[in-house]
Amino acid sequence: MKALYKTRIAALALPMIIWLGGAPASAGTGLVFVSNERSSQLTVLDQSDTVIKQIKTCARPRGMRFTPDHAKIVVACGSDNTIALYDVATQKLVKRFRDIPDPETFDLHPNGKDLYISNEDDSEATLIDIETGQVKGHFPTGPEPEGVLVTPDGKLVFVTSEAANLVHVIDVATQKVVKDIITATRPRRFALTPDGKELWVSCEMSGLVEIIDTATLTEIGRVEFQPKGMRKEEVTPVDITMTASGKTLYAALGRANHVAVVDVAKRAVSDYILVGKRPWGLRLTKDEKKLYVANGLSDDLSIIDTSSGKVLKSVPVGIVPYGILIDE
Amino acid sequence: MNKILLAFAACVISLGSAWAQSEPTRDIRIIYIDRAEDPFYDPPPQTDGVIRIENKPPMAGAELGLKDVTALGRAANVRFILEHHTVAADGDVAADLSAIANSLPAFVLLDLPHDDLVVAAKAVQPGSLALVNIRDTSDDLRRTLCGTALFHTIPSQSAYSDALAQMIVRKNWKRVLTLIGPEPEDQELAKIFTVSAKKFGAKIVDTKPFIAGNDPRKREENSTALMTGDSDYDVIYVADTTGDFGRFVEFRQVKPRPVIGSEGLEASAWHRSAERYGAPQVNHRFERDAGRVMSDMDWSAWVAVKAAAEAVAREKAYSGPAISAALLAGKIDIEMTKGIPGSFRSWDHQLRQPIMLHTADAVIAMAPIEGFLHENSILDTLGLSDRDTNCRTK
Repeated sequence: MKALYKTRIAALALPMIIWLGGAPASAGTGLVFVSNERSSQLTVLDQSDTVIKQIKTCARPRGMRFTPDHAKIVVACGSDNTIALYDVATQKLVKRFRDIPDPETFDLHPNGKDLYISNEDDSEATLIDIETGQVKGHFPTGPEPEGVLVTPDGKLVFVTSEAANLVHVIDVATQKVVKDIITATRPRRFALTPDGKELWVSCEMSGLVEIIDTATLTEIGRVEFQPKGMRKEEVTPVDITMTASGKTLYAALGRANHVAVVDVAKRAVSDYILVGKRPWGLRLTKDEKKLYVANGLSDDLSIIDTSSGKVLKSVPVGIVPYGILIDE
Repeated sequence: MNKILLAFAACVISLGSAWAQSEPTRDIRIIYIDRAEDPFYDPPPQTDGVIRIENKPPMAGAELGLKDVTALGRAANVRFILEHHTVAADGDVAADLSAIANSLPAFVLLDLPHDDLVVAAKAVQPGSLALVNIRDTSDDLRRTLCGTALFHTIPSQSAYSDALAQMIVRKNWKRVLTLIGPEPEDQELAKIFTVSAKKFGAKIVDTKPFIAGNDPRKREENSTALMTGDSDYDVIYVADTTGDFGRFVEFRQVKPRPVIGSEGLEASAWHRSAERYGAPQVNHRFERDAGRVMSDMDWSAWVAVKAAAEAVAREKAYSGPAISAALLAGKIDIEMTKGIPGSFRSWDHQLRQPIMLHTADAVIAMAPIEGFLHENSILDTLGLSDRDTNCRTK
């Protein structure tokens, strides 16, 4: 069984190792990358939000993240059990790790090499070193682990289990699951307040975001969503993202076809913005002037002007867009 | 160096005390009851050329449910246990159930024939223990056994039928030709569909009884061409539980109109090709463990175990009466991997749930179809409302 998890580096890694010696990527190209889970492609948009490229990827790409130097994009491909690295400048595949069972999302430890991955089909999270490809740890979770968040101090890793309604807490020092926190129904994604004190968790089937105190690891509050004219059952929040100041949180409300704007201090919704069908992936630009929204059921992005709360543009991408990255 | 080590050790200790996971303090017993030599599980007749899928006991669904709630149990300091009890072929269900109820289990799944379900429902004090029907779709169990200990996680025939009616009304295929087989079950299906059609505004423009065979003297009843040629309709509804006539309707019909019901577009609680809301993961886990496709019954057993576990973890309902009450209180959102959380109806203890409308290899739509509304829950647009039963909401 153990041998199954042994990860090998594909032949493609060789040129990569040479390339690694080169200079890191510069300030950022301004390109926007969108993973499309059904059409297995990355859609690339330029600074004017125009689609300039569709890159064929490994199968069912979902979670994405830049390496700390922004030179590469790490992509989790669930259907062919691969973690792939794409070069931001050339948009070519540079490295891949096979035999990672059904990876969905992940987070990178601040050390830049430890990748904590949720393995959706295997009820576990794994730790893989993206420099060597070595799998360094397995952590038991409930069924369908999903969102992963490593705290900025690198001490704790949080993993949701969608089907078990739990948030698992991994202690990095001891490499153990130290707590399972019972949440509302179908916990999905995380956002951490800048002071690291509050962990916000979206609970898809309960239509709310739960707030966990990171010191006591208990629930201390929640924000419920109810856009006008929508049934409670349709309010299914998935991705959430917080501004750098920690003042505002955005939540993609799934079947309710809205993005909620939340005043973090007041724990209250200040606005609902109508977007495409089943919005679930979110990404703010660095200046926080624009919010990109991936709409899973209308195969497009809604690009929101955050100051006016209006959609500036809708851009068709691939089939079932999932995650968004902006290189800046 | 020593200082660092000490600090680290202190940190680990404090961590241990604040967040330690404790050993389970309680066992939660879930009993799965079936009957020996149940003819329902006999291999289906294969002599007429109809390809029938053999019924397989949904124990496999309950087992996956148990596996899926293990981590939740860990967090709630309980251990879920699944026990299997088989009533003897000539055994008395009522006696067995009384004995089981006296052993104070937390929850019971019933994989029993219709008549046994009726007996079982009355053998246990209402409110003392939830007995969950995971197999029988008959409307009469919902209509007449209200107020008993019986719950249902498998949908009713009415719910399936309503889902089809919503679909055709939404598509504006409102004029229906119904083709009805000779079996009492066929007649019953057609009767239920007639109610659904009326409820949502579809119109049955013509009804033709059919029989299987090629007897030239009975062409009016066995020729699809003759039966589908003269009336003006948008869609054909087939009620055929035997399957030997229905399978030839699609593409032999005279007019290019779709087929629904027992053939063509069908309604189910669950389907192997469902591709949203986490359904593929459940299918994948089930197929990997059970070595077969997850049926409506398997899904119903799986979701029943999940519902009980939610009651335990959220409402701290550890006993039979507490779980039964928690499920009826409607405070728990039951995650069903069908996109909308479920709950139990207070009047007939039926699990509210979406219905999948599918072909052999694709889920075409999920009911409730967009646009059908209800004052209580959109899921109550499907199946029997309290007005349709002898039950009344308390």
